[in-house]
Amino acid sequence: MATSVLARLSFQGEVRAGRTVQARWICNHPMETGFRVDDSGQKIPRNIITQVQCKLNGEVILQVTPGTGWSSPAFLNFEFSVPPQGGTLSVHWLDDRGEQGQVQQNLLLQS
Amino acid sequence: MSTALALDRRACLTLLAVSLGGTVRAQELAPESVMAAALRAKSWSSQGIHLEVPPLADTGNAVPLALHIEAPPGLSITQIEVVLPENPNPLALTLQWPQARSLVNFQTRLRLAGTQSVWVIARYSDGSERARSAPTIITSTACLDGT
Repeated sequence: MATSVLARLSFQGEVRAGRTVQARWICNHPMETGFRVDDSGQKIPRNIITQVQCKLNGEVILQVTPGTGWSSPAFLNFEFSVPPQGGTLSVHWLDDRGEQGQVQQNLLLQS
Repeated sequence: MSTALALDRRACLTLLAVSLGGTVRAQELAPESVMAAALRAKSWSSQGIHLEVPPLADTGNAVPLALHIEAPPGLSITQIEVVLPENPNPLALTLQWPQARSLVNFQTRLRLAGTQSVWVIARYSDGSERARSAPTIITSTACLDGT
């Protein structure tokens, strides 16, 4: 089940030391709100992403706590500044069912 | 005579459209919820906060939101809340930056239950708050409730 939720992380702009770069994260989580009912009238239990952490070289730079008002697919576009030595940007998520996922990208510095 | 009548009607309709067009706001199209009224009653400063939502969206399933927030001089942004007062769960997003930031550029997509104002509330390092709202009209609601 966990493998069915795919996420993607990409950068916009030139990845150079000291530059501010935009990171885009998109995750096809269903973000089930818990307000809907299925064909037999049963309530579909809530299953939304409850926490997203964006880490730059292991340090949290942005923490997002979503409610049911977040779209599916979940989408984030945030800025960060590229450290001089480069490194890795990773985005971790956790949902109501306890499933979690992670996607990471290396910062390949352009000279 | 029929042309004169038609012109009159057209002129009247044009006048009506012009007089309405400038003043129609999202809040006036639907009865305002308690939450929306409470938010509007707060006298927050909106300086330094810019937000963009489409004035009209076909569905509320994924409404783009763009934020550009500058902190007042000497302060940094610690937390941003996105509040959708007409949604069943009004608090749509909480964003936290553990490191001090004086400028935030951020984009995301929201799920809106209906026509409403999108509120963005920013908290700064000294505990002060600023907020701004922008109205958006939703023609077809997101599937939020079972009705």
